[in-house]
Amino acid sequence: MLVEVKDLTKHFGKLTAVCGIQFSIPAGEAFGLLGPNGAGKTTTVSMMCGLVVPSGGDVVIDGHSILRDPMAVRRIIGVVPQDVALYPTLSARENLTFFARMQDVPANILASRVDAVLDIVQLADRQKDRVETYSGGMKRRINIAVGLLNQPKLLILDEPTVGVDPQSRNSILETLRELNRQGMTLLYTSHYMEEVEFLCTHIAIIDHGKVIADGTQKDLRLQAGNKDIINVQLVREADDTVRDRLAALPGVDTVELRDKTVRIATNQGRSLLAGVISTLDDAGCPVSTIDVKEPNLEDLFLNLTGTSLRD
Amino acid sequence: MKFWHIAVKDLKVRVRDRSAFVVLLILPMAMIIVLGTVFNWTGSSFTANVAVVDLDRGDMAKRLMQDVFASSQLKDLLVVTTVATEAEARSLVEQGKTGAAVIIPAGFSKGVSAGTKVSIIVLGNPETATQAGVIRNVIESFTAEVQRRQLAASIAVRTLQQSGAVPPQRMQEAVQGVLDEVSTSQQTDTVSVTTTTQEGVKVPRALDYYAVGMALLYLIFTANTGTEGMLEERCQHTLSRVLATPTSRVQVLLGKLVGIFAIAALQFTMIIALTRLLYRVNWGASVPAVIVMAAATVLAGAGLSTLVAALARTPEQAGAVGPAVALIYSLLGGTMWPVYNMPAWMNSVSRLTFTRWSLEGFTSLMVNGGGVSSILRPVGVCLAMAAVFLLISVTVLNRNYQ
Repeated sequence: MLVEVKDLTKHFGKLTAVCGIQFSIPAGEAFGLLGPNGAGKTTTVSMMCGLVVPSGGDVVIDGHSILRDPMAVRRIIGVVPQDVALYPTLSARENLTFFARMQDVPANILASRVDAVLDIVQLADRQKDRVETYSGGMKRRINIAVGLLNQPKLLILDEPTVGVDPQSRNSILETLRELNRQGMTLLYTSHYMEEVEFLCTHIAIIDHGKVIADGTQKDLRLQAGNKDIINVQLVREADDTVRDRLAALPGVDTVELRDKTVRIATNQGRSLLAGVISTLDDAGCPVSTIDVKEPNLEDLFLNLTGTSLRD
Repeated sequence: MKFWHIAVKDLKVRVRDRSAFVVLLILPMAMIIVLGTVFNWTGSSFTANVAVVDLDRGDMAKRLMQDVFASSQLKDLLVVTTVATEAEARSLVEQGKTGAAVIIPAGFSKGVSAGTKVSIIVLGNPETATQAGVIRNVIESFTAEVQRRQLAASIAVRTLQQSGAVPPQRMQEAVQGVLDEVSTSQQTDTVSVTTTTQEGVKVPRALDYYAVGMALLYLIFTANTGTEGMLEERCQHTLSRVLATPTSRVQVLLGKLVGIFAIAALQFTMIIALTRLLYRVNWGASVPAVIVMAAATVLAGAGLSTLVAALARTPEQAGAVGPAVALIYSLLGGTMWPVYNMPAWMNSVSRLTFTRWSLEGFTSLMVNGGGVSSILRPVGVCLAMAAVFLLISVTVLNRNYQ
């Protein structure tokens, strides 16, 4: 395992921000830490970087304990904080050069390393401009570039897309997925379920400082225990005969009929769509609209905590 | 060397902030020029123009002209014009072309020798009352000297006559010897570049003192901008980002300290150079000593700034605490009024401020003209205070990240 988080705990006075968190990340994985605001994600990440001293537990990254050898850990990790942490009156290149020096990037390769990360975030053409003149999305990309300067074994990203427009967000996520494909291990925290689902193969859901669910996306969906829901809007009202014919389809668990709306619970989701449409047509009830809602992490979080991720 | 990169980065950030650049470097220079103009801080300071008419042409008049009006001690104070007649002198005074006129009447020297009452006339007009007053004081000093010599000569003659130690034919020569001795003794007593307080402590000229005070005042406020800079870093999260790299907190603080030091040192150097060039402020004879004292002072100021930044949790706190600390250090440190005029208790308390020690160091260089060895104590105290400030800052910063 590249990362082992062992019984990590942090108290701030009487408040327990993180309570005995445990997880591990194999090399090359994109690991998501999903949870609502205030769940303890940033505190966990801060302890992993050595910025906050744990009240209990330890973090071991590539064999180095954050408690015993924080400098060794900091040499092999890259950190992208939640906020844009750049000097606004310096240019992108000046910012990157400064942070590269702080990251102990050797002087003889410093310039080429800065060029390389500028290429990755596609901002080489604006490198001489002051960061204060950048758009929000561009600042976020430079913010990520700083985390890549030391070619880290583990890149820790703490909600790196907060406040970013959809286009920039997609660009950032694509960049990160490409880095992961190239072998970089990612730890990505977010309260955006879609981002974690898009990027991460393994996810831990965190709430009130505790990991409440942990596993691959498939595992977690199974944990959610929900069926796919096919919602059908009909042109005219259907009768009980139609309901019975739908219920007889293989894979259908339940069918609810109300006026012109049909709600079908199934384990087969999209593969059942053709059969449903055909059955309704045969019964003289043409379909106006149809959609499939698959169970997701939001549902799992709702099941486990009784609240929404965005609450 | 990371601290160096941090310091260079800080300087870049500071230089690009035009308002800070103006406040730190341009404003102090402008303030010094304005204050220097308002308070007439010229190196030549006060001068009095005087027209002199010698209607006597005797020995005593010559002595007045040579020993007083042409003396090296008064050459910067008096601008003397010799005129031929009293009417001409009066005309110059009336027209305001000269501040005062001195008329040595005919028979002045003979009268003095004979011990009869003689007088020197000093003319002035209301518009030049100060200059006339100065001339009057000069003449009074001269006449007092003449009276002393007359008295000395009278006593000497009487004593010599009574004792019979000197033959009558050598009496005049002996009396002249006594008079010369009196004169030399008096001159030695009056030659003094510095003034002396009631307690007998040497102090610099007011101009020199306030030049140091102003330099220290600006140093404190410059250090305060360093505090704000550090808190800015905390607010824009760059401080955390740097601390998430393999960079120790000591390196970060050292870098900050060097950055503040560089700005303050530049400012200090400019103030010293400007006051020296424009107002002939005497910063002492030893350039290395001035540099060492300035460096120790700036280090202490930068250390204080680092400490305030470490203690303040928000920019708002720093905004309130920073100027308060600056004001206390200015008031107690003697930058606004002389420390030797402070009440005893305040004088004692002021020794807790590095500004007081720095002021002592600089003023010592000004009045005593010593070298580095003469200011080891104030330099040592300033450096010790800088070390304490830095140590506490590191401790507080470590505690904040626990």
